[in-house]
Amino acid sequence: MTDVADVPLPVRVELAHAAVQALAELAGVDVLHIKGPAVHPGLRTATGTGTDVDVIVRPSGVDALLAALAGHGWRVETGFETGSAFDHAANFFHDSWGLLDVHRHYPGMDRDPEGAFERLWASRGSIELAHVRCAVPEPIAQSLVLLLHAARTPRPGRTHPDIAPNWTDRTPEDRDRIRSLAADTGSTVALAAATGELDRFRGAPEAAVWEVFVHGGDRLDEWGARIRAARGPRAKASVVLRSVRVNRYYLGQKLGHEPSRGEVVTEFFRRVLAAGRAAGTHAARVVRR
Amino acid sequence: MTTERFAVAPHTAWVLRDEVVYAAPLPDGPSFVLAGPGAQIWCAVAEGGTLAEVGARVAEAVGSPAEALAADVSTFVAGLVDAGLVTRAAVPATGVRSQD
Repeated sequence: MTDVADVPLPVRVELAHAAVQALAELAGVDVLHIKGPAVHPGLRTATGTGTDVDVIVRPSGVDALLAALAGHGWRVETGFETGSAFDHAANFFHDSWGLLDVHRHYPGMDRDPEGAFERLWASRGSIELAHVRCAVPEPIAQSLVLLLHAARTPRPGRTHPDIAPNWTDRTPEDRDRIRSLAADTGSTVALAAATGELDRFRGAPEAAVWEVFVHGGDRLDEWGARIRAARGPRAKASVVLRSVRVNRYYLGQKLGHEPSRGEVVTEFFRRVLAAGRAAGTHAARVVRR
Repeated sequence: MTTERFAVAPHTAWVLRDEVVYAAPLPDGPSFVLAGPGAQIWCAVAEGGTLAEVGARVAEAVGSPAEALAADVSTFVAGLVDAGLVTRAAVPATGVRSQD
């Protein structure tokens, strides 16, 4: 019997993909394996074996999958609404398998998550990981997924390594197919952010968030863009509330222990004050321009 | 007459990397690390077959007489069955004619 430290990382990640697939089948939930060893070899970068498992779950199956994970030793590290700017993924840890990211939608494809998943599922392929067959997006869809990821993980001064194998080195016909799939999944603007064509969408509410990633900006720029991109008063209010919500996981990491109720309250007011100060600085910067 | 055939269990994940086998029952694990003779026996079991067939493959791989390895192979395969990594199924023996 071993724990995660005894198994080389690439092997453990491959076994973990297989474990998540088995669990999804037990729960009767569709998942698509993305990134790392699930990626077609020709589309990976040299270091693209991954350090954790990433899956996109059919949105209607999220609750069933989370219940199955909880029942089989997966502990929540960060929930959907505290993990990232897009509220898209929850992170889990298992003593045997390590880290897992469950995507309930994919950033850039978030306008109609169920429709986007179905589009990817309908054209899916499969790959054997640790001798277990796992569903994966077909290669064109894999490229789109990797490009959308590259768009929100900019590398200052240089091109993201996933851009070349998935866009620049692709044939014009392949790039057309990627654009077509982006249109089908509502991710045209996000794809443009990855391929350097975001200026074509200047002024579009949806482009605001991606402009922060492409052109840079502070957290306030990011939250402002998310508020502009949110559709309708309720969605905008929800973003505002989340912008000051305390992430208990990260606070716990910072403090080195599980935060108490008082520490969470203190952190909440610190965040509100910091947001106010940042807004003041931001306004002054805009006035000076 | 029947004989026993061994095979990797349907819910076992495994990876062979640098002559080491990492195998785990799904979906909970844990992982088992099989190196040296253990990896040899695993690879022989992965092809499926009777204990005699598994033993013959191991003997060929390590260059030793099958009879000399039979007891160790049998014990190790039984351990894999107990761990839930390998299945044991009784099947009609081939090459044996019924007396009826």
